[in-house]
Amino acid sequence: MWRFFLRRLAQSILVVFGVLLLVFVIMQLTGDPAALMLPPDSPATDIERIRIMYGLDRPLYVQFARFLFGDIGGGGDRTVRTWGSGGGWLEVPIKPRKGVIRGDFGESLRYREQPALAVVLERFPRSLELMVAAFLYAVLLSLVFGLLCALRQGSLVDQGVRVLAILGQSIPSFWLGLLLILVFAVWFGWLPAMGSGTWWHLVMPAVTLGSLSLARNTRLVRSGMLDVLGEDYVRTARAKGLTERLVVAKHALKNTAIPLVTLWGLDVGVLFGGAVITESIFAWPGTGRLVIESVTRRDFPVVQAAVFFIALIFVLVNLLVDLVYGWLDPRVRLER
Amino acid sequence: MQTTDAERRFIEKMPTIQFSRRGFIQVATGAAAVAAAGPFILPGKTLAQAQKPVVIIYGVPWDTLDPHNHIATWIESITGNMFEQPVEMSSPIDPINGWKPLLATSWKRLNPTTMQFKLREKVKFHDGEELTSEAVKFTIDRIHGRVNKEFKGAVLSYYQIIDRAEPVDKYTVNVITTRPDPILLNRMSGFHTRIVPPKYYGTNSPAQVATNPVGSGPYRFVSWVKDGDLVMEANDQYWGGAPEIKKIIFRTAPEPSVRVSALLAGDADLVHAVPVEEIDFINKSGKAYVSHTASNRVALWRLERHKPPMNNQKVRQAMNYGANMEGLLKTVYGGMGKRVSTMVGSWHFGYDDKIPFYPHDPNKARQLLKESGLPLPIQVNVHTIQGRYPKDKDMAEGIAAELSKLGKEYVQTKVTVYEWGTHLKRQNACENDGITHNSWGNWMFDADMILYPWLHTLPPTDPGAACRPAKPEWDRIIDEARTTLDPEKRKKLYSEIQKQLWDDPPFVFGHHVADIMGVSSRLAWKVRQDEMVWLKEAKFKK
Repeated sequence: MWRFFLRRLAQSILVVFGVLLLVFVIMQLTGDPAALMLPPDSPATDIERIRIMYGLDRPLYVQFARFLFGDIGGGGDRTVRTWGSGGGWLEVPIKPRKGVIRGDFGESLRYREQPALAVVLERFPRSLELMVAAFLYAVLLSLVFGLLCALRQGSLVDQGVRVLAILGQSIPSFWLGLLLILVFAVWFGWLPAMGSGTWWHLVMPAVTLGSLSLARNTRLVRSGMLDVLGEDYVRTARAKGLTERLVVAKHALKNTAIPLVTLWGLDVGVLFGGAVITESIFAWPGTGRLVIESVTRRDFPVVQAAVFFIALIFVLVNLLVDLVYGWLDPRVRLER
Repeated sequence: MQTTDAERRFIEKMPTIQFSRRGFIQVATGAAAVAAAGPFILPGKTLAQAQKPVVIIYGVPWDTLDPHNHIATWIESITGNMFEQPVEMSSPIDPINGWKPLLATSWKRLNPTTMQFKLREKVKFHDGEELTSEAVKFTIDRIHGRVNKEFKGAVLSYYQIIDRAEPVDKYTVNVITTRPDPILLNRMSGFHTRIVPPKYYGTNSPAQVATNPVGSGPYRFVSWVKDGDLVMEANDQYWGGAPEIKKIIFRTAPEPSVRVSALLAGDADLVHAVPVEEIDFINKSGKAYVSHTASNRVALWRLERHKPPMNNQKVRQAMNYGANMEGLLKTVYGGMGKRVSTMVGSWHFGYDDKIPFYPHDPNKARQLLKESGLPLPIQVNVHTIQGRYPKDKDMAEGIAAELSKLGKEYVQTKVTVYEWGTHLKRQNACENDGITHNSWGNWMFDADMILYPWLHTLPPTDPGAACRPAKPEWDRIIDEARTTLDPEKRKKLYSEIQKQLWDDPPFVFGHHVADIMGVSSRLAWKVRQDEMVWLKEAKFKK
C-alpha cells in the first residue's frame, strides 16, 4: 500500500512540475507585462526599469530557474546599475526571489508589492465555498435522480430526467448563468443578480457551476444502478427477503460507487474550470476570476501560483480517490 | 401615500421570504412598521433609501487604491471619491473657465516656471492629519521616488516636468516646473497630484497603502475584497459638508448583460458601460434610466504609414473620405458619441472648430485611390480589440464595410480582433499594417495631451518609435506650443497643426467615445464628461 502511495505521490509531483513548466512557457509567449503596467506611450527606460525590477529582462531559462529556486546566494536588497537603451544610467532595485521551493512565486505584478501565492490563497476560500455548494448540489441531486430513474426505468420520470440530463450537459454554463439571472433576479426578483456575501448570493452560481456535474453524475448513477440491479447478488438479497430499500442502499449503491468516486475526483477539475466562467458571470471574487484577470493583465506570478495551487489540489484529490478505491473494493488493492 | 421604488422592490421580492405563515406575518409587520416610522424618522426620504447603500458596478476591476500607482481612468474615478487634488474640472468640460478650487482655494503664476497655490485651511485627512503645504511637497516627492526608492508614480512621464513643491507657509506652496508649463493647472487636477497624508504614506509600505487608502475626500475607505466589494462611507468631517449618500459599494461585473440585470433587479444603482442596444430597454423598464454623454475619450484609427499601402498620403486621405464616420456614429453607435475633425477633442483647449469633418465622399475616395499610383485593389487590414470601449469591434467592422463599399476593384478589407495585451504588444513592435484601433482619454483637457503622446518623434529605442506618424514640422509646433504660456499663441499653433493633420491624415479621424451609464430610478445623476463617477454629486430623488 505504501509503495503504491509513494509511487502515485512521485507521479503527482512530476505532473505538478510539468504544469508549472507549461504555464511558464505559455505565459511568456503572450505579451509583455511591463508594457501593460505603464501608459501605452511610456518611454523605453520606464518599461526597462520594470523589466529589470521583476527580472523579466533575464533569459527565459534563468527566469525559470530563479522562479523555481530563487536567487542564488539569497538575493537580498540588490540594485542594478545599467545603461538604459534610451540613454542614461538606470539604477533599479531588484525584487528578491526565494523560489517556488520555498513557497515564493514572486510579487503580483497587478497587486503590486503583494506575494502572488498570498493573493491566490486569499481568494481560494470564496471559490471553495462555491465549489462545495456546487458539488453537494450535483452529488446529492444526482443520487436522487439517478436512483429514481433506475428504479422506475422507462417511466415518464425516467425519460424526463434523462432529457434534462442531456440538456444539462449541453447548455454552456455562461448561457445558463445569464438565463438564471434573467429569470430569478430580473423577472421574479427572488435572488441577487450578482456579487457575494449571503447564502442567497450562492444559489445561482452553485446551480450554474454544478449543472454539468449533476447531469453527468445522474446518467452514471442511473446506468450503474441498472447494471447492478440485474446482478445475481441483488437477486439473492431480494430472495433473502430484504426490503427493497435495504437492497438498494446496502447492496446495490455501494457497488455503483467506484465509477462514481472516479467521476467525483474528476469533478474537482471540472469545478475549477467551470469556476473561471461562473465566477466571471456572477462577479464572484474567487480564484477563477483571479485567473482570468491575471491572464488578461499578464500577471505571471499570480497565474503561476494559481495554476500550481489548482493542479496541486486536483492531483491530491485524485490521489485520494485512488486510495478510496482500495477501501471500496479490496480487489483493487490486491491487484496493485 | 405613494409607494417608492425601494418599497416596490421590497414587495416584488416578497416571494423569497414567504416561507411560512409565521414568517410572512413577521415580515409584513416589520415592513409596516418601517413604512409607518420612516417618514417620521427621516423627513423627505424613506428609511429604505437612506439605509440601502448605493452600489456602483464597473466592467473592469481595480488592482490598487493607491492614487499614484495606476494608469487607469476608472481607478482615477473610484479613488476620486476618497482623494482630492488642488483643482477640479467642471462638467461640461471648459478648459479655460472650468477650473474649480478643490484643496486649493486660489492660484497664481509667479514666474514662467512657478505657480503658487493657497491651500484650503483646516482640511483633515481621514486619519486626522491636517492638510498643509508639506503634504503637497510630500506628494510630489513620492511620485518622483524621493520618499521610497522602490516606488515611483505610474504615470510619472506626464509629471516629470513638475520638479518640486516648496512650502512657503503652512497653507501656501510653490509648485516649480523644469520649464514653462502652460498646462500646469491641468496637471494639478488629478492622477499624481492627488494629495496624500505624509505621516501615513511615509511610514507604511506601498502594499499597505495600496489596500488601506487614506485621503481627504468626501468618502472614507471601509473595506475591499479584491475583485469583490469596495466599501466606502461618507466622511462626516468633509470640508464641503457630508455627502447625502452615506454608504457606497463599488463592484465589478465583466459581463455587460449581468450589469444591466443587476440594475433592473435593484441590486445596483449605477452601472458603467451599458451596451448601446440596452438603452431603450432600460429606459422603458420604469426601474432605471440611462445617462450618457460624449466623453473625454477620443477614438483614433491609426493609419499605419510605415507600411504600404498607408505610406501613401492619397490613400490615407481616401480612407477618411470612405470611412463614413458620420453614418457609423448614427447606425453602429446609436447616434451617440461626437465627431472630431482631427485628433483634438471638441472641448479640449486648442480645438479649432473651423476645421471641417471629413465628408463621406466615396467618389473622391475612389479618385484618390486611382491617383495614388498603387496597384488596385489595395488590401486594408483593420486591427481592433473587443469590449474594452463601447462598440470598438463594431466600429472596426463598420469602417471595413464602408471601405469595402468603394468596390472590390478598389479596396479589400479584413478585420482582426486581438486581446488587449496582444494588441498593445503588436503596436509596440510596429507589427500592424492598414488601420489600428486606439483610444485616448485626454485627462488634461488640452491638445498637448493627445498630440505629444501620439505624434511627437520618440527616441528610436522607445516602443513603437518606428511606426510613429511623426514629422519634424509637427515636432516643432508641438514643442513650441507646450512651452508657450500665451493662450492665444498656443491656439494659433494648434490650429496650424490641425490643418496640416487634415491634409496629411495620420489617422482615420474618429469621435468622442460615448460614456453610457445606467442609473436606478431612486438616484438623480448625470454622467460626467471626464468619465469620473463621484458620488458627492449624486442625490436621492425626493
